[in-house]
Amino acid sequence: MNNSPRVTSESWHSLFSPATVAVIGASNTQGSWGNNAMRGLLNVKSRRIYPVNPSSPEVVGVKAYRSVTDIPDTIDLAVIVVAEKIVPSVMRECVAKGVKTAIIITSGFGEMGEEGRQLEREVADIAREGGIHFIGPNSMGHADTGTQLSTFGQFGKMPKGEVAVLAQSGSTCLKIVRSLAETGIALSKYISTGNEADLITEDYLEYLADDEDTKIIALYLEGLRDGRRFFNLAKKITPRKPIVVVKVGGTEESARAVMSHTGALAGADAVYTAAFKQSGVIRVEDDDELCDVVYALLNSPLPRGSRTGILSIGGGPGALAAEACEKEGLAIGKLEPSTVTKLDGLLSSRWPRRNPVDMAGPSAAEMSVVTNLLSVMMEDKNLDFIFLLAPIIMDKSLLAGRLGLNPEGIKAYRAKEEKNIGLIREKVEQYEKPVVMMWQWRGFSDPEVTTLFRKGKFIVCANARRAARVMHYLVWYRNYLDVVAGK
Amino acid sequence: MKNTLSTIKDVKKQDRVLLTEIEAKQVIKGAGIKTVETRLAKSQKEAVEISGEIGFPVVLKIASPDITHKTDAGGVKVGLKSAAEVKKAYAEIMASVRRKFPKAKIEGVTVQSMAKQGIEVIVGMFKDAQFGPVIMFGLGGIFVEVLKDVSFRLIPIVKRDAEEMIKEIKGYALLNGYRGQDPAHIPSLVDVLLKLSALVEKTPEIKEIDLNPVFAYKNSALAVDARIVLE
Repeated sequence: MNNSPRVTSESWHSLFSPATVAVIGASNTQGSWGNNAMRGLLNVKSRRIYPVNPSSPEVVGVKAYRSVTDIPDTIDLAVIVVAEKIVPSVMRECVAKGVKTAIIITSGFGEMGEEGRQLEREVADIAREGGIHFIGPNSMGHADTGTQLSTFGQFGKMPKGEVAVLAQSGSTCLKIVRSLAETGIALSKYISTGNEADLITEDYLEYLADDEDTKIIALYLEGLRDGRRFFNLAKKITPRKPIVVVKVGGTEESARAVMSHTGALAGADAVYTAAFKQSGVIRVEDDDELCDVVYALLNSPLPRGSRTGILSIGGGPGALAAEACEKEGLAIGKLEPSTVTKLDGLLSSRWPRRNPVDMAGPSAAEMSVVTNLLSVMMEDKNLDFIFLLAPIIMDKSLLAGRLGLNPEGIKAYRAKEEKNIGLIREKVEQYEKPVVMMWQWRGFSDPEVTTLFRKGKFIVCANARRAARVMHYLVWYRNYLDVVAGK
Repeated sequence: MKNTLSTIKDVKKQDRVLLTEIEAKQVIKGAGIKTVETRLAKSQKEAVEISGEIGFPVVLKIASPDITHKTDAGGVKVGLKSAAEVKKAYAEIMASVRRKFPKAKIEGVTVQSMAKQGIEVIVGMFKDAQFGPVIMFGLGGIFVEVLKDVSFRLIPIVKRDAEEMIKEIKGYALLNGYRGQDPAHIPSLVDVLLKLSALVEKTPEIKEIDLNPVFAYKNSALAVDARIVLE
């Protein structure tokens, strides 16, 4: 591989931390891309934003210019939202102006057939010769929460986080961003990469590899331009930063002309699967799983093995969980005799004395016992992680209703819960044993509960099947890391 | 390796991309993969002589750069146990091939020892437009034809990749032997995969390889047929 990257750090800086932005095609029409992008960019007061519009003297109250070349300032980033036919001439003006980088929001290029492809090539050629790297075309935007830059036409402050999202579909990008936000996950950067006429997924990946703000990379892929480069980059990145991918099929298969049996047997997807496996990339099925896995990676250590312990409030949830685990290749751990003895002291004599541990329906008043049961199971050497199918943190409504606590009582109860959560968290970290919660849901009705989940380093999943999938991925990733590290 | 390079050079000089069976087996053997001894007989007399030297039973196959599907052409005779059977098989092959492919250039027949039946697997390699050289493993016969029960890795592979590829196929349990058949020796299959990967790494001129079938025995593995295509 080449040592000097294709895109310089100066270019990346201009893309994500521009001091000056020109919005070419900025518009006063409410709801238009040019209006949204313009207003969204005005979010940060210290950034100098220049609208370009040949027919309006000002756009949303800011003095507008007829051409980018008329702006009396250097331009770090040009946001291009003009009609596709004039994008080549706009790009020529950007080159003449010495604009450093660009993003083309405009669609109607390669995604629309041969004519669009030609137009796209023309734009890419102009930019390349002029030394301008650009995102898109047909991108929905890019955002950096560190510099509060967004070309998506977003409003309001963006919370800073550690997850970067790269997506080859704009709407999927925003869907993932929204789903992550709903579970309380903030992002570092997110990019709708569009048609990738210049900057390609592999470039962004190379950049994110060394981006200190980014700890996890989430990807939505339709196809790669340079699979080997992706593979080599991923191999280097995954030992330090997890990469989680949703990949949908492309049309590469039909393009393959081969004489051998082997070549005819290899669907493009099978080769992608192989590449992901060999480079430690966690490939998930859909955006729900992507969010589940990212949440788990952010909040929990990786399990040391695949033996599940199940602690359930009743028989049914435990049976469902056990079946889900078996389907995903996870083992149901056999309890150590000492664990059985300890649980005997905590549970009624009716309990089945094996895993799944059915606590046989304690009353709400007895829920504090869950912490003790969980602690006992976490100390069991035959269990690598615990599925918790019982509430460990109570909803405010439950505390007020069933327990009849007044606000003061609720506060005292919360304090006790926090202490318990702290104890669990210590064990999660000490033993590297994830606790997977699926009785209550992240982003639940009571935000206090959600906050406590994260304090406890719990993995929270909607149901046993999704939880088993997540653990399957984490076990696989841990195993990959151990082998890479020579363990 | 020196042999491999000179074989490939010769083939290229002749403006061919498809190696003959004998050439392909030379390359495979040069890479350290065990393969059935295969020699070219240019006449009926030579076929009988070589059969005697290799030892019965033998297999005869038409040797022609123009015939890809040898069985369909009536160009394959197996289980020949005597000189007389070889003589007869030679004549039948020639008659059938001349009838079905009158224009084919015929070099003679290949004579090879009849390998003892083992568990049939397929090992192969091709170049993916995105990822470059890719190696494949699968169970042979209907498992590969109908069920496409195969696994892939990018070349180069390490031992762990090879082991995973083998374990990954759905029919993995069949490698433990069934209906009284001996189990397959997994380390020997791992070795074949690693050697094929090394060969491809050192020989970028190779575009595609099929080792189909490879017979897996309880202590070893043997490539029974080999097909190599150059860039």
